[in-house]
Amino acid sequence: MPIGLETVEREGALRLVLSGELDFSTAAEVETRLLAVEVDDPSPPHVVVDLRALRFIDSTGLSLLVNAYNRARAAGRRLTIVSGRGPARRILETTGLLDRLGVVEDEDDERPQGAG
Amino acid sequence: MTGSASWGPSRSGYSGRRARQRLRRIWLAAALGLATALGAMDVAAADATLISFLVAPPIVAAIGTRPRSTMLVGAYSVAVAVVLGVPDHVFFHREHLVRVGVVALGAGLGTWIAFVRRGEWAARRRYALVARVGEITQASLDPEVMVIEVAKLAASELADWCFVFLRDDGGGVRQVAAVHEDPERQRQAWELLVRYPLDLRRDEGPAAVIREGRSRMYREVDDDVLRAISQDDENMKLLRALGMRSAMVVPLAARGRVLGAMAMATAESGRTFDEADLAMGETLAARVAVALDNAELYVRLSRAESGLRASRDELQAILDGVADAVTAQRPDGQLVYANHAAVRTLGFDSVDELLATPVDDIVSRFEYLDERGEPVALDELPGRRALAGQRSPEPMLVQFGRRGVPGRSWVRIKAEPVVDEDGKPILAINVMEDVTEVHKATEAQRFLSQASAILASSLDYKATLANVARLAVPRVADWCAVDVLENGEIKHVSVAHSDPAKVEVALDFQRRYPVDPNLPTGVPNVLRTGQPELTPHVPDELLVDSAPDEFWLETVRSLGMRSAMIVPMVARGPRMLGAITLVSAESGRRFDEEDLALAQELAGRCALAVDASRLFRDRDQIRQTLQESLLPAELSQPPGVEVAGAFKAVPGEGYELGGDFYDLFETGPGTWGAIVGDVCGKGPDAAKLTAQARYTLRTSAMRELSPSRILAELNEAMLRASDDKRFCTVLYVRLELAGDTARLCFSSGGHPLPVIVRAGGEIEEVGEPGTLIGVVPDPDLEDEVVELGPGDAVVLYTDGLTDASAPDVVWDPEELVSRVRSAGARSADEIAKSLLNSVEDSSERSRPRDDSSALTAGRA
Repeated sequence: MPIGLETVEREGALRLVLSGELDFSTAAEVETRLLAVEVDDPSPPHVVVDLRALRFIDSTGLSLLVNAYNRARAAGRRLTIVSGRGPARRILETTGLLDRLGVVEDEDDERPQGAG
Repeated sequence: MTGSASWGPSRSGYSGRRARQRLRRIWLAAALGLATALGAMDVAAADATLISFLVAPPIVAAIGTRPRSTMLVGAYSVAVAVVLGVPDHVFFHREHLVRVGVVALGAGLGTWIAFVRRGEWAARRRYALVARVGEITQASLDPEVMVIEVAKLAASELADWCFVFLRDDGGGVRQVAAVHEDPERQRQAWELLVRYPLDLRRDEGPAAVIREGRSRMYREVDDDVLRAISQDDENMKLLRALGMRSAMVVPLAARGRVLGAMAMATAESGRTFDEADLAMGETLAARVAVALDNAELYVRLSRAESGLRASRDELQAILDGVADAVTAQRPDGQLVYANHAAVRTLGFDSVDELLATPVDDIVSRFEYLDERGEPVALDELPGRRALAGQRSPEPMLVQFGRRGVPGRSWVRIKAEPVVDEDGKPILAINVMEDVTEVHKATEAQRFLSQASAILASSLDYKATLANVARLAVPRVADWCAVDVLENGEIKHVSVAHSDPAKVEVALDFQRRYPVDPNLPTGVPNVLRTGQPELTPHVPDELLVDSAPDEFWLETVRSLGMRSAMIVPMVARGPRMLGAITLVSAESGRRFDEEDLALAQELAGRCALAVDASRLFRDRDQIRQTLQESLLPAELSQPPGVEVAGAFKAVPGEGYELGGDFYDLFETGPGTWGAIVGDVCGKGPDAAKLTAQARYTLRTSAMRELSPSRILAELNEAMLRASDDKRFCTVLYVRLELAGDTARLCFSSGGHPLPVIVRAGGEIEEVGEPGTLIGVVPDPDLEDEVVELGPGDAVVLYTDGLTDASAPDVVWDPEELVSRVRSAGARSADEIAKSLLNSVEDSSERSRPRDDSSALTAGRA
């Protein structure tokens, strides 16, 4: 199950754009990249995890997001999850995490709602 | 250079000059003596006639001394003649004056003769000097020795000092000679030159001459001159100590190049150089320069020649030494050159024999096949293409072998044309690189990796072993058979040959003759000992000895067995899994140790694959057992309610343990707890948490009624286990049964909500999703209530059900339920089972993405 992973820097935020399927078989790769980003720069002003292009996300992928969010909070970093309206939003909704993780639906919502 | 005390080669060296000087002095003394004696005789005889004889001494002097001495003698004689007029009493008489006049005339004549003689002598001396230099330079001497000899000559004949400086290859100048008659003074000069090597930047002296290529003359060597050529005061002091009076420096120039300079100086002789000396010096220098230049040219020439010879020999040695066969071929195809390797490759005994054989005879001995085993037309060979005018034709990989002799070598043939001035090919140089070993190794690796790919393609090891056996023929062997050991019995798995008809014969043969496990050789032996068997050559006697009957012998003979090897398949442990038999027949190849190594490598990989497939099978069984142990074996049945649970693991091997769980238990009189949950992630850790979650919920449910509080307790418990960053979704349902009513009180911790199936067919999802358990300390968890009427049912499930075909299709739970209902599922059990089956049927993927569970409860 393929996963697309792209890192872009824009407007002072480090964006991790995921596409494809985030599940048991691909989560480790994404986690590694996320950890690398955190280790490389322990205090980037803002990390955005963009899930809008994800076609699928399962409970393993969900764990990854929760753990990343918890790490960011512990380190005093700002982490924004952009869910889009697809499968990512659905699972975050079902698991009651939309508000808890400060998830925004679209990029434009990033700043006003940005949790950190 | 100058340590020698002998001045040998110079005929007119210092000793000659000194002898000449001595002779001149004697001659002078004799002439003066004669004049004095004549005077004395005249006085004694008192005869004025004797005065006339005084004409003789100047003439005598002219013969043996220099003009100056002759003049001296002449003057003396005239003086004596004048004085003698007094005792002879003829002073200033006519007679006396005539005689004095005669003597004076004689003195003049003598002086003239002396001058003429000196001129002749000088010319002769110059001629002799130049001739001598010519002799020295023409003798095949080392250039430096030659320079030193000339310097010695110059120092004796022309000057007192002679220095020679030569340019070297590095642009510097080195002193080659510093010659003086006195070895002690010579050593002194040499030390000076060593201490102060010539500084090319000086404005005067040898440096300037070398730079400009023009002679310089210093008639008087005064302090100004010394200062101009010296580098410091000490240098000047040492130079002054050489006692130079007059000096000249001439360039050693040839073909417009200044090779160095020769400096000559007078010292104790007190002579002053004149233009004639300079001309002489230049002549000498020109001779030396030409000789030096020639010597250098000769050295370069001989170096070039020897280099050429050496490189030709070297080329021959290299070509003979290379392992590749190298030949040169004329346009008519005839070979004109072949190195040793070519002679060997083409099967000849000597180069001469090979070159004498017509090319058609050579060619007809061999056959060339391409990589696929098709014959190669001769015109396609790179050598022929090169002769046809093609530059750098594409190298060709061919199988190459003698006709009628088994065994083929793989050679890579490269060729390059040699063209004449018009660009017409006159030769083709062929290089045949024997790549048999490389090719074999490459083929072996390719074969092994293909075998590995086949082995990895499936866990059905019998099928894959049969595929590997088919892959092995005819590349590795003509026959390949695989046998495995199953419960101590030898089982034939596969026999492969490229001809299916032959396979039939072999299968029939195997049926007819079951393997005797006690055979001392063959597969039973290999399986027993674990040692491979290699029979490079299978002699007919062996078949005769092994034959139980005539049919056996006939059949085996008809297979044409030539060479055979049997290798064991041994797994970790070690555990004997089976054996692979490889037989060579019609190809005529003989197996060697290398082939055996390849077969063993193949067997090793097969063993690994068989072992892995067994392990996977075992592991899958363990996984299923474990997964099932996490679920209740049998659900207790509350009165008046039918409950059914169903779980479907992802089918197939190698999948990880999932985190699904469900349970139903009695918590009190008329109240039951039902849970459906899913731990995020997979694997043994997820399974462990599954069990923990299930028992934590059970324990809480005994003390607590509110589903949301039960979930909150689980949440706290999971947060406390801080080392485990895992979460789960749980749906807890309290089922209250009282009389005719059934009430569901439930709470969802991030889990898919219950789906109610009404007796009338309506289907609805109820409740609000709460927060995933184990993430935050204050999850949003609400208790919700729904009544279950007669004929109603509730469906609880995990997202494996709806996500089975994700991301292509994500099922709507209500739609799923309505589909199974319309397909006839009514009871809780039917609904649960049909739901899971429908998922599998409708899945467009080869298998569902995740495990799925369903728990249904229906009122009668």
